[in-house]
Amino acid sequence: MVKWSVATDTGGTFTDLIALSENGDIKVGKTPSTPPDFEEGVLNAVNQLDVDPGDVHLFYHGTTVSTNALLTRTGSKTALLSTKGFRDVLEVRDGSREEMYDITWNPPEPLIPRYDRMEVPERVNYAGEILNSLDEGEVRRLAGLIKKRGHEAVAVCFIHAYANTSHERRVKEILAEELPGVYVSISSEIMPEPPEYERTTTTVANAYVGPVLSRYMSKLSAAVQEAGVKGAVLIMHSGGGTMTPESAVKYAIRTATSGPAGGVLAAEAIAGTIGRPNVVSLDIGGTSADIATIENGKPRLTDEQQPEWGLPLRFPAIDVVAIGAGGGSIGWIDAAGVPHTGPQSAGARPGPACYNQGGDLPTTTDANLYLGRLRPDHFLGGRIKLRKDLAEQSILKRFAQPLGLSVADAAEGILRIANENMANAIRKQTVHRGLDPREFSLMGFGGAGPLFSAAVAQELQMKEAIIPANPGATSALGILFADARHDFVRSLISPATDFDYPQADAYFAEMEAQALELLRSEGFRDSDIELKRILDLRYISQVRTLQIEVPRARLTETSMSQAVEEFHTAYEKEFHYVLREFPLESRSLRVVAIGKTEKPKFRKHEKNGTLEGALSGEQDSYFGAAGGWVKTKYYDRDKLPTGIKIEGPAVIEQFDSTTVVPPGATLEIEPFGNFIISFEKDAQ
Amino acid sequence: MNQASTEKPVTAIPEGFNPITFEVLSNAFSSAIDEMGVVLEKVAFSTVTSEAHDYSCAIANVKGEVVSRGVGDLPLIGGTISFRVKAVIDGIGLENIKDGDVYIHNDPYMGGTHLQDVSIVLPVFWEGKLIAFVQTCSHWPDVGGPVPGSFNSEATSSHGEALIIPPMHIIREGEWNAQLERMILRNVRVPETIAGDLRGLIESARAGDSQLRKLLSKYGKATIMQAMDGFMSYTHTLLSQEIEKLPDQTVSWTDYIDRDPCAESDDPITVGLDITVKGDRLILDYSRSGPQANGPVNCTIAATSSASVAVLKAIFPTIPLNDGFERAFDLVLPDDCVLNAQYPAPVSGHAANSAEKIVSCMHGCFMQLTPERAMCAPTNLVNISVFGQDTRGGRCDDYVMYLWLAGGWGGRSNAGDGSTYMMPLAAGTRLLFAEMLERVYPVLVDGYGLMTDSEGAGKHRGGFGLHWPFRITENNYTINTQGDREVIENWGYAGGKPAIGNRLIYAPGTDAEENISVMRANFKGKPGQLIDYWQGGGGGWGNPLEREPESVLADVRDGLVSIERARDVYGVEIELIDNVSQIYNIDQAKTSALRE
Repeated sequence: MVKWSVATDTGGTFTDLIALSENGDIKVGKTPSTPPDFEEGVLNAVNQLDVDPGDVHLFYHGTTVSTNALLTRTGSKTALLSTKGFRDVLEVRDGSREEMYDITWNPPEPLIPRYDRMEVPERVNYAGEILNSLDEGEVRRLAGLIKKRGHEAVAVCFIHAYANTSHERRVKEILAEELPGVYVSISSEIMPEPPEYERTTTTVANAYVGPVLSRYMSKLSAAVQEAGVKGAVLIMHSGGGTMTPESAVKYAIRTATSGPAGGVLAAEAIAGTIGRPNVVSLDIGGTSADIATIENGKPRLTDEQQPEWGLPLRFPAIDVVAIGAGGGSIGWIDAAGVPHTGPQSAGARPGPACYNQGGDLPTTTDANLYLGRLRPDHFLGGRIKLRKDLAEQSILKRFAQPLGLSVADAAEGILRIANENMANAIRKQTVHRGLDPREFSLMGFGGAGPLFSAAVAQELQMKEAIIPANPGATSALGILFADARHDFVRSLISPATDFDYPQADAYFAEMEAQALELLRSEGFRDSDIELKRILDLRYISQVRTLQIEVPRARLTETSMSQAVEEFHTAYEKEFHYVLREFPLESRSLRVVAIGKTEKPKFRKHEKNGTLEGALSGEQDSYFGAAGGWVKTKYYDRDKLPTGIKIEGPAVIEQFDSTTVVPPGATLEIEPFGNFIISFEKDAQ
Repeated sequence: MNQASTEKPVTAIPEGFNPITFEVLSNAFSSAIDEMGVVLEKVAFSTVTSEAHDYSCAIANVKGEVVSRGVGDLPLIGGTISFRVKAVIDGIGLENIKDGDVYIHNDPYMGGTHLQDVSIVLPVFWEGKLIAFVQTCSHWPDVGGPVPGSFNSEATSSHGEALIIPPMHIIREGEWNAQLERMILRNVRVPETIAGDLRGLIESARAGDSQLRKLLSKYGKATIMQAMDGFMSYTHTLLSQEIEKLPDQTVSWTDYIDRDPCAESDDPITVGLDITVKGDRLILDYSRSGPQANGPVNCTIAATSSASVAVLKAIFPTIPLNDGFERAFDLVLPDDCVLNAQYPAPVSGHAANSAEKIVSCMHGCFMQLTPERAMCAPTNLVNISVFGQDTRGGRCDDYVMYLWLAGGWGGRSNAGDGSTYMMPLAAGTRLLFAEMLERVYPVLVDGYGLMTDSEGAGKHRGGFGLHWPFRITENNYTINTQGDREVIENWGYAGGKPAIGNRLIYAPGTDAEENISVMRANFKGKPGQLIDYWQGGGGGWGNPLEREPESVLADVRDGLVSIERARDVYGVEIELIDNVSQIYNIDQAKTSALRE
C-alpha cells in the first residue's frame, strides 16, 4: 500500500486538490466549490481522485469559511462582556483612519453592535492586582439577557486580563452553567497580551466566527469520513501550520486569512529542496499579487495582520502583503494624462478585452498577448481563445494614442508599471526590514506569476527567478508541507537587568504544559513534538520588539545576557544601528509548539528528449530593451527535458501558466523540474 | 477611472518625457518616502513618533519645493516642509551647503509650526552638484522651557515656550556637531528619548538620500530633475481641473477661537476665510481674521498654509501630495494676524486653536463650493500633558504623560452621518490605549466610550464625542492643556445642529470641583481625584426633523441618543417595548405630529 497525503483548498470558485504519494507521485484535481455547503465540493474532489481513500493517511484542508464570515459580516450573533466603562473599545478602535485624507470614507461596522456590548463591574490593574472584585450576580443577570436575545457566542475581554486571568476564567465558568451550548471566548485564553484594542478585536472575531466554523468542521469531518478517508484531518491556519478540527473550533479565528499561507509554504518546501535559503514568493492571480519573504529557510511571521481595516488579529501569521496587480489589472490614464496600471481589475467578467466578453479596457493580459508573450490559441491549454485584435484596439484607443506611444511601447508600459508596483511592494517586505533583495531568489507562481517574475526579479537585481513545476497548483501543494503549530503567549513586562526570573519560568512552564497537552490530544507522539521558547525584547519604552529564542531551561543571568546580545545583533541588522548601553525589557514570553507531520518528498524528474522536440512555434515578440520585435521560440513545458538551457527570448507554455524568459536571461531546468531563470550581470 | 479621449489630451508630463517612466518614478519617490517613515518609526524613541505617527517626510528640489511627501504622515507638519527647507537654504546660504552636511531646525518663524516639531534637512549631492533635499520632521516630547512637554498656555512669547533651534549644522561635511547635540540635550527634560528621536530623524533622512541616489544612478540626473518638476505640474494640473469645474464666485466662512488665554478680555478671536474661485485658481483670503494674540494660539504662515492644504487634499483625495497644491492658490494674510505669527509671538497651541479654525473655515467654504465632498465641523484637538513623579515599585521617576483623544467628525451631505471616533483631520495621530498608559504612568482610566447625545443633530448627524474619565493615582501633579471649543460649539450646516465641544473638569460633583479648562497652564491636582475629560462630537448636516426615523431608532437602541432627545430634537417618538430583547417602537402618529 502506498501512502498518500491529500490537500484540499476551498476557494470561493474552485476547490483545488493535490495528492502526493510517499514515492513523490503527484495528482492534481479541481472541482467547482459548492457554497454554502463547501464540504460537498471537498467530497466531490476526493471522489474524483484516482486514489483509494483508504490509502490517505493525512488529509489537509484549507478553508475560507472564517474569512468570509468575517468580511461579509455573516458570523454568529455575538455578545461582548467587557469591564465597566470599556464596552466601546471595539468601536473606538485606535482613532486612525484607513485613508488619511478622504472625507467621504466610512469606517467598517463593528462586529458587535453597541446594544449587544455589555459591561461587568470588575477591575484589575496593570500589575494584576484586583481593584474591584467581579460582580458575579451581574454576570448571571447578563447571561439571562444573552440567553433571551439568542446569542450563539460570547466574547469576554476585561482590562488587564492578561495580567490576572481569574475574573475572565470565573465568567467562563458561570457562562458554562448559565448558557450551555453557547460558544465562549475569553481574551486571556485567546490572546493574553496588551493592549485592549487588539485583544478585544481578536477575541471578538474568534467568538464571531467560532459557531460558523464549528458547524462547518462537523460537516467536513462527516464528509471526509463518508468518503472513506481514515487518516487524520488537519486544518490550515494563517500561521502556516495546521490544527485538528477540534482545535480549529476553539481557535477559530486562526483559520481566517489562511488562504495565502499555502503558497508560501510551497515556496518554503521547494526552496528547501533545491537549496535556496532566501526567497521572496510572488503569487499572482487575476486581481492581486501576494508577496512574502522566506529568510534562512523560514517564512517571516507577523502579529499585525488585518483582514480588513480596523480589525487587527494578533495571532502570529505568515506575513503576506497583497497588492492590486494581476492578469486582469487595467491600464488607464488619469485626468492629467499620467498612466497607471491597477489596482482596478477587469476580473473574470468582463475580463480582459481579448476575452471577447464585452470588456474593452486594456489589461496586463491584453498587453502580454499583443506583445507575443501569450499566444491566442494556447491560453489555458487552448480552452479560452484570445482575440489579439481586441487587445490591440483597446490598448491603442485607451492607452497608446492618448500617451502618444506605439501600441507596443504602450503595452510594454502597462506591464512595466505593474512590474514596478510589485517591485516596490517587495522592497517594502525586504529593504524596509533590513533585508537586501539582491540576496534573494524570486519564486513566481499562481496563474500569472511566471509571466512577470523574470522582469520583477531583474528590476530588483535579485539572484534569479524560480518557477515551480505546477505554478497554478502551488498554493494547494504547500498545505501538504504544514506541520501542526500552536502559539502561546503571556505578557511579562520586566527589565532585563532586574528580570522577574521566577515569573518567567512559571509562565514558560505553564505554556509548555498547555502545548504538550494540546499536541498530545491531537495525536502527536512526544518524539514528534518540538517546543520553542521565545522572549520578546525591546528597548525600554520603545514599541517595536524583536523575538529572541532562548534555551528550554530555567532562565539565568547568563542566558539572559546572551539573549540581550542576540537582540543587539538582530537590532543592528534590521535598523542599521544599535544602542548597547540602553536598557532592555521583555514584553512577552512565547511558546511555539510544533507537531511534526511526515512530509511528502519531491521526486527528481529525469526527463529525456530534445529541445527541438519541445518546440511548439516561433514568432516575433516585443522586448523594448532588446530593440523591439525579436524572434522568440515557444516551448511546451511538458515535453522539455531536464538539464537543458534555454536562452531568452523564449516563452514556455503549460496548461495552467506561461513563463516568459526575456532577452539576456537564461532558463535552466533543475533536477526537480523547477525553472531557474538567471540574468547576465550586464543585463542588470 | 477617467476615459481617455482621442483628442489631444491634457498632459502634465514634461515635453519629450516617457510617460511610463514618469509614472514609475512617481511611485518610486512615494516608495522612498515610505521607507523614510518606516526607518523613523523604527529608530525613534518617543511614542509620539512610533505610536502616534506625529511626523512627516518629504523630498524637495533645490529651490525647497516639495516634490513628493508622505500621504500617511501628519498632515499639519507635511504642508510646512517647503517652508522649512527654504528656511535652511536662506539660513545657511545656498553657497555654504556642502556635501555631507545635515541641518537641524525648529524655528517657527522660519517655516516651522511649534517648537516641538524638529526638522532634519539633508542636501543630496550628485556628481558634485546639489540636486535635492530630503527632510524628516517629528514632534519631540519635550524641547525644554518652563512647562514639561513645552505646551505652555501662559507663554506670551517664544521665550516662555522652549528652545529655538534656527537652521544649524548637526553634521558638517560628515562631522557630527557634538557641541550642538550636547546643548540640545542639556535643555530638554527627557534627553535619552530626544537623543533617540534625533538619531531616528537623521537615519530617516539618510534612507531617503540613499533611495534617491539609487534612482539617480539608474535614470540619470537630467531625468530625475525633470521628473521632480513634473510631479508638481502633475498635481497642479489635476487640482486646476477640479477648481475650473467650480463657478467663479466668492464664499465665506467665519469661526472663532474661544479666547486669548493671555488677554484681559475673554472675547473670542475671529478666524475668517473668503475663498474666491477665479478660473482655475483659488484665493484663500484670511484678512478678516483677528490680530496676533498675546497667548500661544497663533499660527505661523507655514502652518496656516499647511492646514489649508490638508483640507484641500481631503476634498480631492486622489491628487498626489506635493507643492503643486500650493501653486493653485494665493494665500492672503495681513501682517498683524493670528494666522501669521511674527517672532517672538507664542505658537505652541496653534494646532489645537488657530489651525483647527482654518480647517473649520475651509470646510465651511467647501460646504458651499463642493457640498458633496465636505463635512460639518469635526472634533477639535486637545493636547493634555501631565507632569509628576511616579513612585510605584519603589521608583521615583519624573514623567510626562501626553493625552489626546479622537472624537466625532461632521455630518456630510452625500456620504451620510459623520464618522465616530476619528482623530482631528490636521493632526491625524493615533491614540494611546489605557493598558499601555496605566503601565507606564500612574494613571487609572475609569473607562472610555461614546457620549450619549453628544452628536450634532441633523438629517445626517455628526459623529459622537468621547468620554474619557481618569485619575492620577500617585502624588501631586501638574496638568497643562492646549485646546479649544470649550465655549463655541462644532457647527452644523443646512439646518444641522452644532455638537458640544471639549471639557476637562476636576473632581466633578464634589466640593473640590473645578473647571481645569482645555487651555490651561500649571493646574495642580491631588492623587485619586476623578478628572472628567470629554472630546466633542461633530456638527450635524441637514434638518434633524428629516432624519430617517429608523436611523434615530437605531441610535436610541445603541444608547447613543436618549428617547428625550429623539423626541425633542429629531421629532421621533420612540417607546421602549422590551429592554431585554431591545425592542423599540416608533409611534408613527406622534412622530408625524412632532414633525409637522
